[in-house]
Order: sequence, then structure tokens, then C-alpha cells
Amino acid sequence: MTTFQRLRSTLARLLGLATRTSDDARMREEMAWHVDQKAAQLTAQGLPTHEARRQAAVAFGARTAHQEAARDQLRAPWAEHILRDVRYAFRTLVRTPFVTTVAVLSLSLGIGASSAIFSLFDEVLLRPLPVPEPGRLVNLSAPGPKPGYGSCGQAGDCDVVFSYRMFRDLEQHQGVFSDLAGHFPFNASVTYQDQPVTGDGVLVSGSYFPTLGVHPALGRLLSESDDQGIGTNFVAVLSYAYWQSHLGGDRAILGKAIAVDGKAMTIVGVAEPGFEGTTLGVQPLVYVPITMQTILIPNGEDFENRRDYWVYLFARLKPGMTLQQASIGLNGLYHSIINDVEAPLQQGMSDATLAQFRDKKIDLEPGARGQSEMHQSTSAPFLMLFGVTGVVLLIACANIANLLLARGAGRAMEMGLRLALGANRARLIMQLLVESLALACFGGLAGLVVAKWTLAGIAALIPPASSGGLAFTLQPSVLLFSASLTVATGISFGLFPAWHNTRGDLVTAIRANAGHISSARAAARFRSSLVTLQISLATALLIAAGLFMKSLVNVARVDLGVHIDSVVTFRLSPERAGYDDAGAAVYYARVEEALAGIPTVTTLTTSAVPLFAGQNRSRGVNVQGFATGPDVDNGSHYNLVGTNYFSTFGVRLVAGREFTDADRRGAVRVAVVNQTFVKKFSLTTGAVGKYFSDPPDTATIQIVGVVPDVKYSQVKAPAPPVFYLPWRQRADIPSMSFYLRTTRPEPVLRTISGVVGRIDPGVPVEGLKTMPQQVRDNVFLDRMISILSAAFAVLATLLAAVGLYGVLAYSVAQRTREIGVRMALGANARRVWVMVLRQVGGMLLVGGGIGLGGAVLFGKAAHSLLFGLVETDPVVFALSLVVLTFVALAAGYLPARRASRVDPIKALRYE
Amino acid sequence: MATRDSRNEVLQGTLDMLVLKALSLEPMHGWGISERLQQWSDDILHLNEGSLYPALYRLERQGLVRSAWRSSANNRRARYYELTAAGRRHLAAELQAWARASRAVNLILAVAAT
Repeated sequence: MTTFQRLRSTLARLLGLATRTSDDARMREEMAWHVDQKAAQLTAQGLPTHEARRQAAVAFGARTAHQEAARDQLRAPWAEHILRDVRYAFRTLVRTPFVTTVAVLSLSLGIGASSAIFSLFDEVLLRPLPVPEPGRLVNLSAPGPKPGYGSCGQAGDCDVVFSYRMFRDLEQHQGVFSDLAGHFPFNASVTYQDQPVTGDGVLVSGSYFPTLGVHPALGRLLSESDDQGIGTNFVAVLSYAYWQSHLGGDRAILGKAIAVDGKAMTIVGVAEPGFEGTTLGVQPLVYVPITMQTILIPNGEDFENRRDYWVYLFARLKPGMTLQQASIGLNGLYHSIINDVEAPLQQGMSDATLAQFRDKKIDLEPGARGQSEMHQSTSAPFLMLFGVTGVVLLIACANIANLLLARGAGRAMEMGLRLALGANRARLIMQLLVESLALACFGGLAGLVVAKWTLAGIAALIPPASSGGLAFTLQPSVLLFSASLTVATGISFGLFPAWHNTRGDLVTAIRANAGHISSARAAARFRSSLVTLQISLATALLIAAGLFMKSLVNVARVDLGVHIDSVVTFRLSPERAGYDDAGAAVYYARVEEALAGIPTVTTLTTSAVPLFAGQNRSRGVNVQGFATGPDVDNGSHYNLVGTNYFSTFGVRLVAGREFTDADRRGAVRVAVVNQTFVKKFSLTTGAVGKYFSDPPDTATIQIVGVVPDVKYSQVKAPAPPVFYLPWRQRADIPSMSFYLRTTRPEPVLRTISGVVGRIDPGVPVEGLKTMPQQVRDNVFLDRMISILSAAFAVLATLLAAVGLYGVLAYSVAQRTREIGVRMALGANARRVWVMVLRQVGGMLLVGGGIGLGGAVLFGKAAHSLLFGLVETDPVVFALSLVVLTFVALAAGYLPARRASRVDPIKALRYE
Repeated sequence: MATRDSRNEVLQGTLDMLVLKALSLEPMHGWGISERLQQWSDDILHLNEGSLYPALYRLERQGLVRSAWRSSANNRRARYYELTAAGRRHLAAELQAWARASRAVNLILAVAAT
């Protein structure tokens, strides 16, 4: 038979299931007709009618057997069996609504939670870019000394960036890639027909789209001809999403002008739908040639300077080329550039560092998922949460296995009888498995709803600015995951009960007990160990959640060094709307003036680097009396701030004064430094009055004040050395954060857009929120982990309690007679209580012990996620054990009480 | 089987071929096929008439024959079977294979006899 014929025949058999009755009728009619014909023939030959009929029937053979054989030909017998099993399974599930409900509920919570976390996991860490052959993409990085300047951020840390010249050198001379691309994400303000939108943009090399193999949805994409002259390529490609949402998918936009950060560009095309750049968390509105960096980003990076690192690189391997081969080929080239061209350029480097520098290598890593800082920062928490939901699911499965075992004991009579009557054990196991799979399917379906809710909950925990395009929806891959999980759980929790409930000794058991079968020892042991396992898992989860909660409390209690209650903040970027440096300075002053007029605003101030927003700016300084030399770290963070900066945030100066309106251009250059700065640069004898300079600027700056340490970019990181300069003495501030202290934040939040808009509607207000919100956003990962793990731990504990209750209640019911005998022999209620609770204690002791061990291991693994506590925090451990003991005793209370009230007379007569 | 009829049972696997051969002449019902087979074999082959039907259904499922209700000579409706194009091809292939196999067997027997 050909494959086609086989397929067709299987299909016909399956279809046969649906048309069974009509097939049966046809068969009967056909066969009856056949026998009638034969009988008629025989009658014609002279036989009496009834003899003719008899002989005709004999000649035909056993009609039912033929019918059975024919029926098997018309449809697949296995399919019919399964259909029958499924129908039977549904009937059984409906007949025991309580068991079914509990099982489906716990399973749906387990599957739902796992699917939700998997959805994020998949989106952040698994899914490849939507481009052809993503497996051939590789990311480049070159860890090692990078003296000079740098800029790095969303697409990866500073090990990953290269200088522009190095990019071009590699591009020209490499022979291992079919294409090598460079890019650089930036915050963009895009204005089309007076409609400004702020978001992301990407500066891309001409090879960017060809490397990826992305196609245009309209017009053309950027190519090698678009990145030849620095600062001369005024063209832009729009993202499909932006084109659809803001330009209405207008096909007439080609050749029209669009302003990117206030610079007019010509729209040449739209990228294909679904392509959102190569950096997770960055959703580009536009793609602009990388050569425009110098035009778009004020005080941007240098194209010629080999000591200025800012370009992210990825490449497509030549067909058939392995990562190792490419690495060898590329590093030969890189080594010679580093040694022959770049090493002679390095100055002030110690011999050791120079040796390191000469030894630098390019690392190639699989780049199918693109380049994103999020891959690193989120992989640990997501893996952890994924593990936690797996544990919850495991506990749910254990519960269901327990329920099925208990119900199996109730159905032992039925199974025993069927086995005695010659039923095939494999068929019975199959039938029970179908039952548990049906249960799992219900659980899986309900789990999808739970997953949707969980995702919505998680979405609410992540600030929009950080969720960077995470969809929070159930993608096909997630549905596939849930489905596999459903089948896997159905089989895993169904297998032992199915095997156990159809064991051969049921037949003897029926004979011996005549109507009553006691639970076999193996099952009892199995059930107890399941509950012990649940308790141990729940213990570990409770402790883990406790650790994260305590960590979050520590985070919330961090002394920021500033008073931020009832401070409102937002950011303005006038240079993206076309202002120059001087214009922007005037603009800031006007905004300050207008804001001061808002009622309830008591003081206000500004800073160029936003507080607690993850942004850093640092540079090397030459401080009076501090010796520099090769390899001496003279770096300090800095910020450019407005008048009243410290008083607005309630920071008391340790020494000296803060900035006043007199600290403006033309006046003596001044600075305020923090205590860590004082320590780092050995100014302990009195910093005020000392001088320093920040090269390449040669002007000397006098320190006029010292402030206590204030957290800088991260709530959790210790304060770095910082020097503050009055922004009015500087010329180049493309965007500025504003802070308003007010007695009533709510109305102020609502009025700001209007106030700022009246000055210039072309400059949109960004990131408007209260400072406490800003702080919460800065530590959202901690909040997310704590809240989710706490929720999952509570869930796990409840599930374990249900399991414990079920086992105890069942064991008490089974031991009714034994308890009756004991009581008849003089045991009092107290002893019965003790007997049941001892069972609880045993499981608690073993389970809790294992759980403690698990929690210690877990704590070690999650060490990096904890803040301000050791992973074996005794308070958390003790508290978790107390909670668990309490829950276990509560679960044991009802069964114990029932046991203590057993009436010996009734229990014995029950026999 | 404990007792054996003097007549031969239809060789396993050849029944399908015989049915197809019968149907290659004209469309007919199950009863007709069994009569035709009996005739051809001069009553040597013993066909358990009922076993014809599973074979017919199998062939139909494989797409080698198709069937439909038609009224028969005595005005009762009967299920008529006919070959499909695939059935015709299949029969030709089967006959060829059969001819080859039987010639081979005969040759061996002839050699063995001398």
C-alpha cells in the first residue's frame, strides 16, 4: 500500500467512528440479503424452505464473527476503544464532582502559573528574532581593558561595544561572516506633521537589514549606500508598528519628511511587520543610518577615535561556518588590528594593562535572540520563578495522585471484578490513564484562564518603561507548552494510581474480604511519601518566599539619603525638538519659572542625570593633592543640578554651601562633592576650598560644599563618588529632569502637561510620576519576585494542606475499626488524638527537614537576588517552619477530631 | 483446525485478488461475487461466504473498490461493488506478481521432480 492509500484508509476508519450506526445497518442488510439469495437458490433446487435457510446460514458461516471482522475493517478498533474510554472517563469525572473539582482547580493553578511564567521566559529568553535562519546570527563582544570613552546601555554592557573604526576595519577585512552589522539604540523623539512621539530609535549600519534578511513592507530599507558619509545621510526607515499606529499605514509617506530629534529626514521605507529591532526592551519607531549619530546625539561619540567605544556588533555566519571556525578566523584579524594599530595609541597605561590589552579577544555568542541587556538581568529571576511554579505544579500533581489513589480504593471492587472476568490489565490501565488525561485536560484549559490572569497581574507589577514591548499574551509557543505540560502531568499523576488500582491481588482480595477491600500497604506508603514530598516542597517555597519578602522590606527601607515624599518628577528633552544648547538653557529657565507658579509647589529643582533611574555619567578627574598615574582609578560620577537641589531633597550639607543663583556662567566654577568623593580622593582634611578639574575641560573647579552620600542611579547600589556642578555654568544639557516638592502631588501631576505645553507644545513631557513611584520602578524586579514568590508559596502551602488533610481523613476512615477496637479496649479520646497527630508530626518532621535542606540549596542559588540578608536568615527559617507546622496541625485537626469521636460499638458493628 | 475439508481453503491473501478479478468483469453484489468465485473454481475452492464481506470492506477502505445501493433483479435493493481506477491498477500488479511467483514455484517443482 502506498503512503497515500494508508493515510486514506486510516482516515476512512476514523470517519467510520462517526457513521457507526449507518455502517451496522448496511452490514446487516447486505449479509441478510446474501443469505436470502442463497436460500432462494437452494429452495429453487427443491429443498424445503427451512432446510434451505439452514444450509444458507451454514454456508455463510458465523454471521456475528463476520460482522465483527467487517466492523474492524470499517473503523480502527483502537480509536473506538479510546473513544469509549473517553466517554467513560467523562462519566466517572461527573459522577465524583468533588474530587474532580479539587483536582481541576489545583491543576489549573499549577499549569496556569507555570504557563504564565513560561510565557515571559519564552519571550525574554527563548524566542529567536523573526528573521530567516536566526541560528546563523552571532553577537560580538570584546571584554578587556577599554581605556577612553564609552557608551553602553540597553543592548548590553560595556564589554559588548566596539569603536566605529574597529567596526569598519572588521567589516572590510573579515572573511567568516556573510555580513557584519553595527547598531546603537537611542531615545528618539519622532515628529510627523507636528505630531511628536517619544520612544526608541536605532542607529544602524547599512549592513544591518541585509545581515538580518528583513524585507521592506513599503519602499526600501537602508543599505550600504546609506552610511557612507558621516552626518550626511538624512534618510529614515519607519517601524511597521509606528507606521500603522501613528501614520495610519499611509502608503503616500514615501519621500516625505519626518523629524527625528528635530532633524528633518526623508522617509525611504517601512520595515516588515513583526520586526522590532534586535534588542528586547527597545521598540524602535525609526531606523536611521549610524553615520547620523553625530547629528542626532549632542556631544555624541567620535567616529574616528579608536578609544571611543559605542557600536554594538552582530553578524551572520557564512553558510556551513561554525562558531569556532569563525572565532579563529576573526581573532587573527582582530589581534593584528589591536597590536599593530591600537596598542601604539594607548597612553598612560601600565605594562600589565597593556599586555592585557594586546591579549584581548573577540567572543562570539549565538545571536538568534538579538542583543539585549534584559537577557542578563532577567534570566536569573525568571529561571527562579519558573522553578517555583514547577514546584507548585509538582505539589498539585501529588495532590491529584493522592485523590486518584483514594478513589481507586473505592473502585477496587469494580476493578477486581473486571480483572476476575478476564479483562485485559493493559486495557484497564489505559482506561484509567485516559481518565487522568481527561482530568488534566480540564485542568489545562482552566489553567489557560489562570495564566491570563497571572500575566495581567505580572504586567501590573512591571513599569511600562521597563516592560519594553513584552506582550503579556499567550503566544502559540506557550499554548504548546501548556498542552505538553497537561499531557505530562496527566500521565505522571495517573500512572502509579492506574498501575496500583489494577494490581492482580485485587482478585484474591475480593474473595477474602467479600465486599470490603482494605487499602494496600504500598498505596498507604506511597500516599504518605507524596504528602511528605509536598510538605518538603512547601517548606522550601515558604522559606524562599520569606527570604524574598524580607529582601524587599530591606530594599524599601534603604536610606536613599534624600526625602522624596510628595516630590513630583518628569523630564524634558528640548534638543530633540530642535533646540540648540543655548536655546535649551533658556527654555529650562522659563520652565522653572512657570513651574514655580503652580499652587502648592513649595520648592523645585533640576538635574541633568535623573535620580534612581539607572542612568550613570562618570568621568576621570584631577583632584588637587591626589596623585594620578597609570592604572590609578580617578573616575567619579557627576550630575548637573539646579539651584536649591539639596534643600529641595532635604539633604543637609556637611560643610560649605549649596548652589545659588549667583553660580552662573562667567562666575567662578564651583562644585559640591559627596563624602565618598572626599574619601576616594583623600580630601578628609577639608574638602571645601580645594580644586579639581574634569578633563578634557581644563578649567579649575572649586569645591564649595560637601554633602552626605545620596543614592545615585540604583536604589540597591551603594552611592558612588559624585561631584555636582551647577548646570547654569554648563552649556550642553540636551535633556533635564525636574523635581517639584508639593503639599498635594495629585493635582500637580495633572497640571504639569498644561503648564509645560504652554511654553512649547513641541516638547513632550516624559516620565511624569512621583519620586516614590520612581523608586518603586527602580526596584520593580525585587517587587515582582517577592510578590510572585509569596503568592506561589501561599498557593503551594494550601495545596500541601489539602493533600495532608486528604491523606489523614482517608487514613482515619480506613482505620475506623482499628480505632474502635482500641477505644473498646480502653484508649481514651486523647490517645486517639495523639495517634493521628503523631502521623502529622512524622510527615512534618521528615518533609520539613528535607524542605530545610532544599531551602538552603535554593538560597545559595538565589543569593544574587537577595538584598541585605544572608540566605540562611534564621528569622525567616524559623517563621516559615512555624507557619508550616500551624498549617499542618490545622489540616490534621478535623480528621483527628473525627477519629476521637469514633463510637466503638458502631465501628465494630460496621463489620 | 482439527478437521480439514477435502476442498481447499482460499489461500491467505489471494481472496482480495480473486474478488478484484471478479469485479473486473462487471460491477456486482457480494452474493454475485461469491457465486462467481464458486463457479470459477469448479467448487474446488471452499469460500466461507461471510468472510467475503470483511474483504470487500477492506478493499473499499483502501480505495480499490467503491460501492452503492442499486435495485437488483428481484427488486430488492442490493449493494453493488465496482473497481476503481486504483483497483484496476492494483489488480494488474497483483496478477503479474502472482504469475511470476507461480512460474517460479512451478519451475522449482519441475526441477525437483526430475
